[in-house]
Amino acid sequence: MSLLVAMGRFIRRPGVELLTFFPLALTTLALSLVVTTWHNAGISPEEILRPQVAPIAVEVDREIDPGIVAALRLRVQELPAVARAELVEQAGAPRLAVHLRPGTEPEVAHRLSARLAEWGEVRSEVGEGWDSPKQLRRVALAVAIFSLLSGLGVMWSVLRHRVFARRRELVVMHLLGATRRFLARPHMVLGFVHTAAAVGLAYWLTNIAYTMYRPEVDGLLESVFAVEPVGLIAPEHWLIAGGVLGCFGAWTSRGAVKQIV
Amino acid sequence: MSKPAADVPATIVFSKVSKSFGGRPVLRDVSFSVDPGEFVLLGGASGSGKTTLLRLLLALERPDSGKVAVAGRLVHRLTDSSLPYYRRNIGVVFQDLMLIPDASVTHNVRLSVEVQGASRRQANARACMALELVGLGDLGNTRVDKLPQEACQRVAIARAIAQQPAILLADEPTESLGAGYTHAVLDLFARLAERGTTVILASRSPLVMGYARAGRMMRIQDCQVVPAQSRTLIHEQIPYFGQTVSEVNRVLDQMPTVGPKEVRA
Repeated sequence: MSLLVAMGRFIRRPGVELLTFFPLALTTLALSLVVTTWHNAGISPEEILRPQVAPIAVEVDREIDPGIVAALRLRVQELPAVARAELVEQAGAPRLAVHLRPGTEPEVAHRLSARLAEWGEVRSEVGEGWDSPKQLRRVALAVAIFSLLSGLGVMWSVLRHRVFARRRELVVMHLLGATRRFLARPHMVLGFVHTAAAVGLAYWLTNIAYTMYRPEVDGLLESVFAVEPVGLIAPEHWLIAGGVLGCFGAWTSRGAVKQIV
Repeated sequence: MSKPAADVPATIVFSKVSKSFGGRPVLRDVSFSVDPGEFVLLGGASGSGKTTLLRLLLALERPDSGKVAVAGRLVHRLTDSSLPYYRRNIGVVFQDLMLIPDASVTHNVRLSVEVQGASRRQANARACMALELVGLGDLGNTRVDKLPQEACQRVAIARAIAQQPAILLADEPTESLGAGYTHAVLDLFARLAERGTTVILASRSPLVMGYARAGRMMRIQDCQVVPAQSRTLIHEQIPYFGQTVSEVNRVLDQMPTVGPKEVRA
């Protein structure tokens, strides 16, 4: 109860609190979009470090029965390493395009290519010859890390500005006999609440946006990363993110108070 | 919230204290003591070291040499963690007032009570009483930056009084006040001293230095604290913030005391 009263004392200037919350909410929303995209692209550091494989294109012999080719496609599609297998008609010649899952070992791809060679000419090279998704994923990871760091920087700055807007009050109270803990506690709580609430809002908005634009997003992810979208980040992960960022907000606010008094 | 109280009277002792800024001496081997409940007027020209002396007492400055002791504790040896507890016993009227301009009058005054761990209700009650004592009882909800300088000065005084300190330090507390209010403030401080609060009031104003009810007058001259001669300049019939003396006494009696005036550290 006393903590709520103390918080009430510090929410005397709602303008400052709103000016704090909105940048935090925008930053966390931007971060959530980046992380969600990254998450949907199935990128993780381990997978990026693993060798990537190219799609395998098989020019199927014209003499082979189309029914057999369709059955072959279905059979290939069932393989765990295969993301999808498509049958494309090109100038009358059937062509089987096999997309492997990211991170598939090259040996698996080679073995599959060797097996598929029985059915026609395998066109695509496997392995190092096709690494643009790998590069793309690396870029995505770099963007995610950069976004995270710059997002944390923005949050750090905004939260410090919030505390420094009350600088005079903190100095006066310290001179009157307030301990650092007494001064820091409400700011820490508000720092936590601000950031955690911003994460909550970002979660809510991301969910709404994803629900509204799911077909477009899925198509975009599939065409860019050549993988099946796996959906949104789990709520428990959001909860952890809210907790971690909330602690970051509290820690930043405490640091600002300590710097002032 | 507070650390255990020490059963030591609030005796202030300066022992051969020297302080200089940038090689220029401000205080040189200053020695004096102030007893509990004493009302001391500290005079001296502008820049003579009055504020420095008060800042030394408040542990905002450390002496170059010598000792500053309050209730037997060396102030300059207090740790960062014990300083807030020490300062809760010292009410201060700062020369630059140190008010929060965008907060209400009551908010400013009750801060000094809240930092001691008092509840919001207690803090409000003490703030209202203190504001009544300085004649601002009806301006509690007004923002400080909407008040004239003279009223701000009274808010700062009320804040120091609301704290119910063992020691009250006032640095030019009547600078913006007219003669009538000056007398009223001095009279209020005298009454607080009678109730056991040690009051040290620093001023360069001859009007203040001529106050008859002060227990002792000192001057800072040539970096030394020397006794000053008493000159009665003010008569006591000047109205007291529009209140009668009995009304002031009634409010003072209502304000809960902090027991025997002692310094907790």
